[in-house]
Amino acid sequence: MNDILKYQVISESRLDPSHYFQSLFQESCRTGLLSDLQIERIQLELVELMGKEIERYTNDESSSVPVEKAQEILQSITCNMGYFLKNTTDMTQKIDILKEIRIRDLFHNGMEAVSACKKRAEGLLKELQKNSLKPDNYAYHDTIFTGLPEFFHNYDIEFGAHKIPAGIDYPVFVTITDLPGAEYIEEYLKRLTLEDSFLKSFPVTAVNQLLKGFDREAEHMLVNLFELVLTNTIGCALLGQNLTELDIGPGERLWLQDSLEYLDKTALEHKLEAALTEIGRELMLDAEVHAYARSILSPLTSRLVHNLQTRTLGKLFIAFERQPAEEASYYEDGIPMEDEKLRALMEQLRDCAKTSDKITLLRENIKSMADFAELMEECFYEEEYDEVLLELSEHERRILRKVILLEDGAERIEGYEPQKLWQKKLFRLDDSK
Amino acid sequence: MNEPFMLLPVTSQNKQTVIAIRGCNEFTARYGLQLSEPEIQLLTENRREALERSGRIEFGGGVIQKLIMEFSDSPFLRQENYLETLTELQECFYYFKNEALEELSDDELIKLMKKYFDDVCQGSVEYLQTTMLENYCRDVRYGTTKYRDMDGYEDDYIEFLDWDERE
Repeated sequence: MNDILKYQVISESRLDPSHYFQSLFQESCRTGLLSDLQIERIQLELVELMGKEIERYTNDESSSVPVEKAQEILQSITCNMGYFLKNTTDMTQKIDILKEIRIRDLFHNGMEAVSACKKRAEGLLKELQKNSLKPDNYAYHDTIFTGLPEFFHNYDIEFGAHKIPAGIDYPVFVTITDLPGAEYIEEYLKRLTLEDSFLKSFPVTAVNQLLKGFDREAEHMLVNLFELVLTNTIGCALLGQNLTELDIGPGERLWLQDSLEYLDKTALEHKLEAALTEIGRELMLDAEVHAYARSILSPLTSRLVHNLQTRTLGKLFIAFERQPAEEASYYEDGIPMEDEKLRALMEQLRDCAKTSDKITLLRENIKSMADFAELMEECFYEEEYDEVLLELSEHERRILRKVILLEDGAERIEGYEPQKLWQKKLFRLDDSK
Repeated sequence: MNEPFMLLPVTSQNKQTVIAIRGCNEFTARYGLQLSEPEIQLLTENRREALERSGRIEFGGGVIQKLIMEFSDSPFLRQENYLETLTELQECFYYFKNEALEELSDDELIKLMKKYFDDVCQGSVEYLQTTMLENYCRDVRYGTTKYRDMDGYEDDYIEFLDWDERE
């Protein structure tokens, strides 16, 4: 096989990004692209370079080092050389470099390239520190202002090029698993910048409310904000509501359940893709941000399928934390309506075509849970029960249960069997949380 | 793939050690000390084993040349015990490089070994290992400055041999 064909045998996919020099060297040996003489030359020059680097590392005070230290130094050498080779686009050129360039020169070229990578990463960090969204999440803030700067302070290109000497806790959405040292940091910062760029499309207050809705302790959790916000944005797009509001309440989730539960996986994926396209257009997302956001499609589709099947959309689309029931609510159990007015209201409710209009009428007119209970039986259909009950706050539902128990003469919820379907749904509602 | 030393050949390092040891014979002749070719090979092999046992790695000719040059004028070194003593000293050196947590340079450790070998230890490598060096390195590890007060230490500290002058 002539050399041109042999070069084509080494494909980039066979090379390990985290040990690039070693894998390229191995593949070149395996395919016969390097002669025995060239292999020996490379190995001897590596030994010579190792000796020199150990001398430098120990300030020429020790001729020997512990094996672990020597392994680290060699890893740093090969990491630098590997980075230089990785950034040479053509496979033919890579092999020619191995054949012709002295290892010492390849190492120094590598250190220059890694140094440039580190500088680019520093630039990305400075931008983020200046302009990033400031959400209420400790890990996000700490990573940008403490963890990442620690890397630039501690990073040793010559003797620790492969290391990441910093505590970087915040998880980016698309994790990086196979890059060493400064290369990892540059890629991490690129992804963080893309995510931050997306997050800046939203008011920080909305992002913070979403976090609180996800978990009261979200400020201290290691959670990827991009995924949370993008998921809810997609939900808003599916609902046809304002994308930057982010809130998806119980009523909206019920609507999503009804409209999506009978679609198969492929149809769901198409819906999500269309939603993402709309988001890209409405929020005027940069092409790179949009491409990055598309990585959510596959995992989100699978989660959506599961959550629809188990009727747990609340675990996927987050509702903002609702106000505590101590605040004034539309359904304070006050004085019941006069009979005549109640009958008139019943007529109005029966004339309404939409459930949402009926709910509005209830809010505007009803002060007593006893009246509410009567109207549920007389004016609402089975398919409307869930939506109406979810509109009530927890406090209101608790009052309603008490009203039902009192009417039936029951003393406690335990062991009580409600008679009517809407009552059964009411009592089951809190059990399912 | 993750084992970096698979890239490196072993035999070339042994060659350098042999050349380095062989080169010392001319200097040590004045003290009546010589190593034959088989003895050089044995010493080289011992170096490899001592490094392996101590979990260390060395590039180039190694420290054996410095050990030979430093100890060749010792009154306790004779042709009859030359190979055996060098073998033990080499082993001792790599062991105590670890024990001192890399805090002592090669030259500092060799000078220390020579000082106590000729003085308190009266030519016994075993005594050197189990008492003087053990105590000294313990002090180094714990960061106590007691070792600075050892007899004659202040006078000898960082007084490096100039190899060119000695030759």
